[in-house]
Amino acid sequence: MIRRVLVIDDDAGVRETIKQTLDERGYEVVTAVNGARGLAAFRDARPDLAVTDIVMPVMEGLQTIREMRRERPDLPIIAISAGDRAARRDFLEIARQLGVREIVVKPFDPDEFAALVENCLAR
Amino acid sequence: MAPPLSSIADEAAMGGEAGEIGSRQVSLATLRAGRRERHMAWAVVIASALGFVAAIPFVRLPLAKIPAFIPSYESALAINDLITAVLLFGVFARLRSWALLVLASGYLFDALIVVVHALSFPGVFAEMGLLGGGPQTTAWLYIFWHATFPLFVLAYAMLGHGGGQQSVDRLVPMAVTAAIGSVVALVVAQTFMATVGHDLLPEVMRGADYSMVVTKGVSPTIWLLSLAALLALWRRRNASVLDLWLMVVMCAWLFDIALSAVIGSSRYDLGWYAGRSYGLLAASFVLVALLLETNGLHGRLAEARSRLEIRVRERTVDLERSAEALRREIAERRLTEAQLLQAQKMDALDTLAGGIAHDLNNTLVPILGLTKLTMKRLPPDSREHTNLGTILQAGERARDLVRQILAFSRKEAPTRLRVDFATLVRDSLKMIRASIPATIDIAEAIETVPPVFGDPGQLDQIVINFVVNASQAIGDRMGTISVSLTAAVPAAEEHGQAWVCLSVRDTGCGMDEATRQRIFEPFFTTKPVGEGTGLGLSVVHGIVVQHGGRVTVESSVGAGTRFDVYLPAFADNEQRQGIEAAEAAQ
Repeated sequence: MIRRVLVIDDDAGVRETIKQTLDERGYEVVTAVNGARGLAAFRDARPDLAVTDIVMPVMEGLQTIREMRRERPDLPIIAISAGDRAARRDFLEIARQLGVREIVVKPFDPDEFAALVENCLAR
Repeated sequence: MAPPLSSIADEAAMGGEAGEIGSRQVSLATLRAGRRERHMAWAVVIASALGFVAAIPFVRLPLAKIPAFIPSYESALAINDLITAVLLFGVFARLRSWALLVLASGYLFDALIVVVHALSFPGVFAEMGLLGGGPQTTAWLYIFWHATFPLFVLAYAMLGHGGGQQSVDRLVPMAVTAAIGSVVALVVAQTFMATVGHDLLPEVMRGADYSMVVTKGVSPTIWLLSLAALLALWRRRNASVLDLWLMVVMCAWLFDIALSAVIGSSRYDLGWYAGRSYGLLAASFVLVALLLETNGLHGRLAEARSRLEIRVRERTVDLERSAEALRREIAERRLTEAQLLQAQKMDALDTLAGGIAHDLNNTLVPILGLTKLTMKRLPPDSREHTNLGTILQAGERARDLVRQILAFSRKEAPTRLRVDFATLVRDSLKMIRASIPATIDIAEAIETVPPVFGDPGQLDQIVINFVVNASQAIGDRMGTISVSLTAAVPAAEEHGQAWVCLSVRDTGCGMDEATRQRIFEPFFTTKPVGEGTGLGLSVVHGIVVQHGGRVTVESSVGAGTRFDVYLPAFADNEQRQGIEAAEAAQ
């Protein structure tokens, strides 16, 4: 069974890196450039896991996470943070309270990231 | 009436120039006579009057002829008048009042004419007197004397209190000289008249009897002149102390003339002796008053000077104190400005870091991630693989730099735990040993110290940064890094606050004073471009300060560097309870 992963990030480089990392391991990757589009893709594609940036234009990552959790409380979500203000404890604390499984700080190692995705889906 | 202290102080401060600057002159010639002085004057006048009345019935009583009476009495008179004249000339020089010059001249005239009178007196220095002339000479000299002095007083009274307005500074010596010259000329002229011109003068004296001065109206005239002088003084407004005593003088003078030349009419009778006693009294009043004034002025001057000195000393102390306070304030302000500047730099850096970190971290994701993915698809010995390896390393350096900038700018409060610092330092050193070149020895001297209260991750960073910095200072050479941890003895002013001191000493290149001063500035580095961010030590410094500690640096070029990090020990029970309560509340 092919697992589908939704990647929401406004940075094309980040999207491409995650896409290639996961493609290589046999995942199907759907990408979106902001929270609003991400939410639409989330409803269309029904991914098995969502990866979302926290600080984004149009719709904030936290808002996106909240919406997705509301619709699918069991969806594993990995939040990625650029390590600036999104890395602050209060932001991360909110993300955790929203049920985010893992928080990854950019820049990350692709192999470690893939392992994390694997781990989340295995649970 | 005491003059206000300030005017005395002014005089004391300005010395002889007081008059030109216009400060008030204090003198008995200008001070208004007070109630006390008036009472005293009246008492003297009444006593004199009583004596006078008591003497009247006995005026013509002949007494023993004492020829020595005249020279001794008139010497005293001459000296009194001379001193009075000198003092009055002095007052004139100070106040520049023409009236005073006239009065001083009057006293000088008195002093001189008295001498001439004594010299001419028959049977004193010679049978017929020393000056020649005739039997009338002495009597006429007496008349000139007693007629002229009231004229001087009259002139004084008429001239009023004026003075000081005219700027007569340069004229003072000239005026005094002219006055003395005129007086001498006058005395000489009168002497001539009484001796050489003896025969031209009417006869007033027959033997020792001079009742003709009365019958010919001479002595009543001079008596009236004295009365006129007295009245003129009386009429003056705002009588000064000097005026008051001059009035007393004129009263005594009137009694003198009345006793010896109006009622009495013969030498060596009671009236003659009593009149002369009044004369001596009269001559003494102004002198005594002037001497008392001079004394008083000296006393006040000395007092004012000592007050002034005390005040100057006090002001000097005040000035020194405020200068010291100012110096301290300037130093504090400089420190505050430096701190403010540092804070502004930090703020700017914080903003900058917040702004760039987001983008840089995003940018680094593909640089690091895709490079690594691509490398896997290439043969490891290919040139492309090697190139990508270099790109990966560069990207990792960039990543570390961004992390450091973020760590530096992050403002959130670090966690605070009770940390066994000795164990933390040992662990950190173990961890870092591997990354320090083998040519460098690490000498540990870790004592058991009280725990500190802080963020273990940050405390770790302190140890690592100083040790890495030390190893970089030593470079490729052989060297030693000595790390010691001791409990510092609390200083008295720190209220028992115990400290833990971490010292990191190296045998490296050391640094000069200019470098030492900037060592904790962000982005300040002595390493080649690309090798150091210039953030390490400033981050550590920030951490130490956040923990309530401080760092001292000792270094000189070629002699290595020593950093001492002082952190407050977590030993106090109260402090512990406070912190535990705070932790529980979180």
